[in-house]
Parts: sequence; structure tokens; C-alpha cells
Amino acid sequence: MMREQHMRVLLRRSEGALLRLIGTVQRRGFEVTDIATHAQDQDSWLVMLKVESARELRLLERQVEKLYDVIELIEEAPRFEHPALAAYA
Amino acid sequence: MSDTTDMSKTGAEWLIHALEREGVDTLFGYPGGAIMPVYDALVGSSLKHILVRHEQGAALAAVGYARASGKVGVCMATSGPGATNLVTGIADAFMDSVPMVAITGQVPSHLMGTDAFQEVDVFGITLPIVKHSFIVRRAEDICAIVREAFAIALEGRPGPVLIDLPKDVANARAVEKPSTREAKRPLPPKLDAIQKARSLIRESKRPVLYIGGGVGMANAEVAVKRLFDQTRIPAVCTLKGLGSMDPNDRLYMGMLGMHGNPAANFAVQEADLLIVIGARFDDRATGKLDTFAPRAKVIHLDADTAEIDKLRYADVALLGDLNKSLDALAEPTTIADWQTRCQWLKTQHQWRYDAPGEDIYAPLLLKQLSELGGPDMIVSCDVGQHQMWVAQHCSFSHIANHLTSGGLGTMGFGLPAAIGAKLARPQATVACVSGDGSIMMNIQELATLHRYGIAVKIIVLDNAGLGMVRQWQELFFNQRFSEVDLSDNPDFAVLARAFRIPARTIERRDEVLPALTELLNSEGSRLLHVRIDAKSNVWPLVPPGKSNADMIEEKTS
Repeated sequence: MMREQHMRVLLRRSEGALLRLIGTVQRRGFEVTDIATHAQDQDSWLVMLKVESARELRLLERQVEKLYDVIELIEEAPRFEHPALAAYA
Repeated sequence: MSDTTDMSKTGAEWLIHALEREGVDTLFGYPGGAIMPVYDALVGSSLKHILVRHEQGAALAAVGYARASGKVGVCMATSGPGATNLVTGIADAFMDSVPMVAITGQVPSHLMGTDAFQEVDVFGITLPIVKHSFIVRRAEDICAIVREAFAIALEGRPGPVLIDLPKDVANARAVEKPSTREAKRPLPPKLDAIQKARSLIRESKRPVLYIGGGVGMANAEVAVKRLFDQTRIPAVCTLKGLGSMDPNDRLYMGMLGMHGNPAANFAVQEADLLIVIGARFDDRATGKLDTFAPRAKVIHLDADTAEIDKLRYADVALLGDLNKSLDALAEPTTIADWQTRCQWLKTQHQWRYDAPGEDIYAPLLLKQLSELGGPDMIVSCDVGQHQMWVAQHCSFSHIANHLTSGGLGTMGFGLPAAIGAKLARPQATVACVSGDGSIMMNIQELATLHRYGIAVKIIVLDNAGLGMVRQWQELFFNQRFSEVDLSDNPDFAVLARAFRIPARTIERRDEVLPALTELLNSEGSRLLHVRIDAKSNVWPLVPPGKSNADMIEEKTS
């Protein structure tokens, strides 16, 4: 029942934001199998995650959306299209 | 501390100024090296600082203050061990969604990451148990961070926020950067969801209101009572929802769950619709989840989107303003057969207080305490058998009058939470019901009671052991008793008197009423030490991993 799922998060570049995001993903029962981070500008990171879990991704997304450092979850966009992250495509 | 244009305040002074501006009147803490600049700035401020005797006491007192008043509880400690000692209280606030701001001193910035004396990464340690957290890097940011912290603590689903303040930042002089951040208001519920919920209620033949602690946090007790009165849908409460319903109402079925009332559990199991209000399908409430209310559709009302579908699929989710959602659902129903059935269930499962023998029967004592203290008394309890007996046998007029560590189950919660509650609501009678295991976990706070003359009426139900663990070992571990004997306890009355708290011990049933009357009618704090049968168990119960339908009652010979 384990499924690979993808998530793209626009994250504020604040202290502990990455730790908070990854910690939430793991604590809520998802294994991070791949991760890439790219500084968009002074204020934000784009974080791309591949995760594995038997749980539904939408349950994780709702937990992630609550984090105060999360600017938005990017939905329905092509995965890993950023040049710096092409290796993950 | 009142001049907002002051250009020459230190970070610590801005912190105190910002707390005053938030309307904080009381905070709980313990000084130490890294937070000394803040304690220096505290001198001459309008804040009342309560010096506890252990930082865990500070955090749990802040929880009690917040839960009794609905305001943000504030606690403060130094770096290192001061900060780690706050952790249990922060986790307690997180699990029970209590608005709290915890402030920790930190070693100077240039020493952070060097294993300096009393350095600990409290920001990292607390990441999973805070709603949000900050390390203050510049003194000019502190006012905006405090404003943000209070807004975050209160808005949506409340929770704890940590502010870690390095000592050099606390000492640095700065100009204030103002903030206009306001707590976000809840959005109105979606109309189509309301329509769907109304249809489900209209179609339902056996609906149940399943009421949790979120009702208190959303200030929706009046609205939930109105919904109950208008619809006359039978209601059950979770541990943290107790106080929202009139216990004597014929359609209020009591607490559901592991040690709930069988009538409540059976009504939920038979329901075809659950209207879940500020509750989260906790395992202690649901028993084995896939057998819980197996035929029921679910309308889930919550401030937290992440609770929707987390454990149980919701046919309709109502997010946003709980008061508006509740009012929108308040229509009369035609469920006479179901109401009759629930009333019958309730009459079949009344609590009994006619236990044989001369030993003090704790459930009856707690019922009498509740009757003598009245429904406006605040009861703060610890964790274990006595906690469940309080939930079963005390009556509350408001959720804020029942302080119990529901999510984390923190032994040691009762006494500091009672201190916080009494300071938040000085006119209220505050009782702390504890056990001989739990009371020892924060016994040092008796010194805080005496120091400030805080009147808390303490009852220690002493069964000379860890009763709940013992009960589980008896029932589920083949009576292999392991590390539950506390028969070498200190003499609790002597111990209390050492802290200058008057105390007495009782052990016979005929001593109970006079002792309770004396306890409640006397001035100041008192401790009543009550010896009870070491073999008493909490009944009924749902065995771990079993369905709520499989609730077992005490075997009577």
C-alpha cells in the first residue's frame, strides 16, 4: 500500500522553516525519499519532495498548510521543472 | 515602561513593554543566567511574576491560567535546563490546544552552537510541540515578534508559541519596529456545506451531538446549548467537552470513550449521524476506530482543516466560525423514537454510589465535593484513576471549570494548573484533585501556594500506588504487578504542613462530608489527604484495542 507521492511547497526563508517542514512530513507518517530546495529570492524557498506512505497525501498537505512558514502548496504544476532541480524530474 | 517613543530601551525592556501592551497581568517563571536581563527589566513593571519552584510548574500554571480564562498563558525560563523543564508544559498546551507564549533565555548569539554553558537548542527541541517559534536575532524585532506570537497562539486552533531570546539581543538597545498584526478572525462557514449538513440532519433518524473541547476555545458554549435545545438531538461529550452540557438534561448521555458512560457509548454506536463539534476522534474517545459508530455519517465542525478526515471520513466538513455554523444547524427535528431510546439508555446506566464497606468510596466523595462546591467551582485534576472519577462524578457549568490534561496526560498537571486558574479567576473556588502518584510530580509548588497566599483546596486520593497502571496490570497483564506500589509514600498531611499548608488525613466514610465542608469553607489553601482502597478500579471501561460496544462493567458478586 506504500505509494510514492509528490509535493511542492513555497516556503518562507525563515529560521527553522526547512526543519519544521521536513519534521512535519516525517512525523505525520511520510518517508522523504527525495528532497530538493531552491532559493527563489531573498524571501522564499521552493521545496520539492518525494515522499512514500500508505497514508493519503491530502492529509499531509493539510498539516503542512498550517505551518506559518508555508506560503503555499503548489498544486497541479509540472513536477521539478526548475533548471536547478531537473535531475529530479 | 509606558513611553512608546522611547528610543533607548533594551531588547529585554521592549519584551516587558510588549507583554504589558498585550494585556498580560500575570506570568509564571524562574530566573537564571541567560534570562537575567529580562528579570532586570521586570523590576518596576506592571506584570505580576509568579516565582514557581520548578519550570514545569511555570508552564503548567500558564496552561491552567489560559484554560480557566481563555487568555494567553505566559511562562518564562532561562536557557538550558530551564528551557527543557518547560518542555512538558509546552507539549501539554500543544496537545490540548491551549494558547500559550513561552519565553526562554538563550546564551549570547556568538556562543550559540558552541556547546556553551546552559546552551540547549530549545527551538529545535520544541519544533514538534509548538504552533510556531522564534529566535529573536535583533532587538528591534522583539515587539513585532511578541505581537505575532500572541496572535498565532490565539487564532484558529490555539496552541503554544516559543520565543527564544539570546542574552546579547536582550541587552542590545533598539528602536521599536511597530506591528499591526491582528489575530485572524474565523471565516464564515460555506453555505453549500451548511445545506448539506442540514439535509443530513433532516434525513437522520438517530443523530448524536459529539461535543469536544473546541467548543470552549471557540467561545461557542452558548451556541452549542442553543443547538441542543432547538434540535433536541441527544448529546455526548469528550473529556474536554465536559461542562458544555447540563448533566441533568434527559438527553445528555454523558462522556463517551474508554471510561465514559455506557449510555453515551451505546448511543454513539447506534447513531446514524454524528455531529462532531470541536472534537478530533481521539483514541480514548473512539476505542477501536474502525468499529466506532459504524453506521454513522459524519458532520465535522472544526477550526483545524487538518482534523477533517484525519481519523474518520467526514461526509460534511464545516470549517470556520463555529458559532455561525452551530446557529445555522439549529432547527427542530422529529426523532421521537430515538429520543425515547436514548432516555432509556440513560436510565439504564446511572452511576451508583452504594458501594459496600466502610472505606472511602472515591466516586461518592467526588460527587459530594462537586455538590458542595457548586457548579461554578473549578476542578483541576491530575492524571490517573482520580482523573477519570472526576470526569465521571463531578458536574461542571462551563468547560473552563474542568482542567484536565486530556491529550498529553501529564501527571503533575493538577497543582500548578490550579495555581494558574486561581490567579486567572480569583473569585472562583479552585479545587485540585490529585493522586498519591501525581501530587509528588510537582509537590514543590505547595511552596508557591504559600508564598503568594493562593487558595487552592487540594484533595489527594491516596491508594498507595499508581492505581491506573495497577488496574491495567490486574486486568490486562495477568496481575503481574510491576513498579506500582507506593505504600512507602510520605505522610502527605505532614508534608503539606512542612510547606505551611494546613492539612488533615481521613480514612473512614463518615469523615468525608465534615472534611469536605471544612476544606471548602476554610480560608486559604488546605490539603485533604484521603486514604482509599488500594484495589479500587475505574469502571466501566473499554479494554484497550476493543470497540466501545465491548465496554465492560464491574463484576459484582
